[in-house]
Amino acid sequence: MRRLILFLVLAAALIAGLNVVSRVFDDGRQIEAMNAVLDDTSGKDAIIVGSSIGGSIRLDTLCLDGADFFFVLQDVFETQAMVELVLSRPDPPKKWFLALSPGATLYNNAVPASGRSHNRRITYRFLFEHGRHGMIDGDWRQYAVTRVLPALGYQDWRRRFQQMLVTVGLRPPARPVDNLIWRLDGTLDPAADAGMTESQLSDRLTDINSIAYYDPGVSGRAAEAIGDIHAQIRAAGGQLYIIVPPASPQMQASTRRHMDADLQTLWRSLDRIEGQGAVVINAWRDPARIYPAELFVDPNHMNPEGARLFSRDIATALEARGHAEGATCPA
Amino acid sequence: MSFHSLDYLLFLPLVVVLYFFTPQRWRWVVLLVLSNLFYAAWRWDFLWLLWVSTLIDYVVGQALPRAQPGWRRKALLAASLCGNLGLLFTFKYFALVANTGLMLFHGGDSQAFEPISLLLPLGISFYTFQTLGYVIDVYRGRKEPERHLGYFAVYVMYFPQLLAGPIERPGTLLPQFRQHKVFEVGQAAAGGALMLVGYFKKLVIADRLADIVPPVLNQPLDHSPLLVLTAAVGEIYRYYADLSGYADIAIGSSLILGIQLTRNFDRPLASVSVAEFWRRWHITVSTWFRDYVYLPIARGGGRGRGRRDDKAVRRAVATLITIAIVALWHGAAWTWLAAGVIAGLVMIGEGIVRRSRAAVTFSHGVARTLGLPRGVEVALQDSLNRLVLWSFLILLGSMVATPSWQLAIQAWGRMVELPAWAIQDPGALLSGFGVMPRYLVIAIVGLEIFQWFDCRQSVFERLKSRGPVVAWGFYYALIAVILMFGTFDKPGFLYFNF
Repeated sequence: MRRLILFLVLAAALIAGLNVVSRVFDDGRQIEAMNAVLDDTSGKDAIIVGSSIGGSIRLDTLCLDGADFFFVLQDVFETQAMVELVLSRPDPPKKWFLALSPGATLYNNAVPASGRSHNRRITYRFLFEHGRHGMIDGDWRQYAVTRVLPALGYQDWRRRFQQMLVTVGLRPPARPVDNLIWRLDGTLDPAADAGMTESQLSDRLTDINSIAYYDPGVSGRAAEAIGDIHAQIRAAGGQLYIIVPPASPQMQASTRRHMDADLQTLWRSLDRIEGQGAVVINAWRDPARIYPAELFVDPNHMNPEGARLFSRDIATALEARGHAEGATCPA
Repeated sequence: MSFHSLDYLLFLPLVVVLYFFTPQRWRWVVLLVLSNLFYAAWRWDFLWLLWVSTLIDYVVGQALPRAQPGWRRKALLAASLCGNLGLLFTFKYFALVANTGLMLFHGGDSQAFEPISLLLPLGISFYTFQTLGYVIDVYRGRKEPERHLGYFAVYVMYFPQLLAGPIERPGTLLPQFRQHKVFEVGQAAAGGALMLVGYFKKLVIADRLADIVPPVLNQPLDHSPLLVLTAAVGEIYRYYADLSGYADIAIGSSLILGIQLTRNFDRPLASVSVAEFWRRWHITVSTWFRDYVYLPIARGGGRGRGRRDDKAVRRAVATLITIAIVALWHGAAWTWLAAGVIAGLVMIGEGIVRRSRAAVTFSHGVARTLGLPRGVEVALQDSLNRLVLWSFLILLGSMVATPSWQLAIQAWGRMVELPAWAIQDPGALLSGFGVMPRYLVIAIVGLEIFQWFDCRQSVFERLKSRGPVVAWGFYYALIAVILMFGTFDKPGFLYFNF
């Protein structure tokens, strides 16, 4: 028995050693880049939060001095924690644009089945660095893993191996991360839209089904998280604009066909939040307004020209509802 | 909960402590409660299915010995078969049959309707067959029914093998629950070591292959024939690493409690024939189907009856049906059924050649003509058999990884182009191999070397005999490798689709 205890103690020492090594050889590029975009939010009028489809909104088109603070594959729960973080800093923005994808409330990065638990751990590391030590949506698993092992798996260690080579002079230092905020350039070939949509939607449905398999309550909690985001912003004297950007024509049609019930649930929960004072602009609710495939980079992400056109539509919609944004902005 | 979750790493020590600190007569309660907790941690709303299956077979098992021979006994057996297989069919195969019917109704257009999708309750394929085996054994009079509902429920729900086997027979598992076990450090160490090997197979190899292989096989025309061929082999290896990894963790976990589960994989990829492969792959499933499906069909009218030709035909039919069912059990898709039929036909062909005097005479004749010694002749025969086996495995790998027949056929077409590419543009054959991380190749080679040693003498025992520095060093290195090279962003095991 004494041997067993000794073995376990040494195993714990091994894990502690890996923890130390992972910190020593962390190149820190990802977190540094996130810090830079966080610093950029202070003193701004507006901010875009949410996942990568935030790139469909251009605050300059809305004549707002704003900051991009949306991250690839971020789920609603992580956005909630990020909103808390930004609000806790001095001089936070007043106008908040939350970019939501139609499947936003069906994702939970805490579940390994999402294939995105790595993103959750990065969010935790970022939040820890800023002194925010709470759990995201009660997710104790990824919380504990991030605490014990800041680097877990090849995805994290690969960078550290490279950093080790940099340290001994066998490799030049890595370039800083410059693609953290997705504002992608390019044009989706309309002929390729159907094929890409089929493949991406199939992957999305697989992910969503896998997540629901392990976490059937995700949709309800995500809707609550959006409500909480609104409540926090309101309590800080801000205004929340929930934007559901368009997808390519093929993606919208296919998503409506395969996920209609989920879409209706999301629209209903957005209606409720709108009733509480948030402004919702939903590009999916007007079937007559189609954004052609040429305005996209891929079936989900608009290119800069698409983002400009869509942002003008946002401005028009806001003006129609009596909000000043965009109304006085020259074209 | 999944074996590769943090929950399980906390759950298992709790089970061990509670189990060994509880008096023997109440240990079944500990195992039952914790096994239910283990299952409910995934979805508590499917727990009722598990209990329905357990209660049906417990009641049928109790009633069978008292029932008069004749229709009453058959009715009881039918009740168990219909209840269990009915649930299995509904949850696992109904969607496949219904969607195929809908597609035919819509003239082959799979986009014209919303496909039916049912959530598959975890473990249903395993506990269904485990309890069915029990009822059939009681019906045949080979096993006395278990009188204690608690022990019977533990037999069905025992957490290490509840979700994905090994499928245990009542005779091997039930008596172990009644035996008084004391915590043995050596046994726990062996169990822990086996679990580590399982985690290595799953997290370092299988889950990494899951990232690399399907994209190649889903777009075969975009890749070189050699890469498509390698991906098909990789898919088989991924299945092996995933399934046998799960079995290792299950057996290892149980061993810590002092309860021995049956070995489920015996280096199947080292087999020399398709028949041998099925004997060494998923052993508890293969033997279940052998005992309860193959033998009853093959024996037909009973042992020793019938002409030799009739027996051969019955054996062939039994092989075909059994392997087709085993394949369909692996995956509710027509591609799996086709793979099973192909495997069955290859096995029948192998059997015919093996028993054929003409083939033996021909082989000896060729060897004599060429002046080959007997050893070389046998080695050549084995090589030929391996070629047949690997052709089948490559075929199988490309079939199970692709979502449609068209893609599978495209993949085969691509592989057939290999000789032409090798002649015209050999350099292009190697394009695309950059996606394969070097560490993965090293991990696979390392696993093969480990298994080669392990099948001759247990690596655990070898290391133990060299003292704690070597043994502990090996397992600490394994832990570090898993933590540094593992993939931790994947859902459950492939078994969970079964």
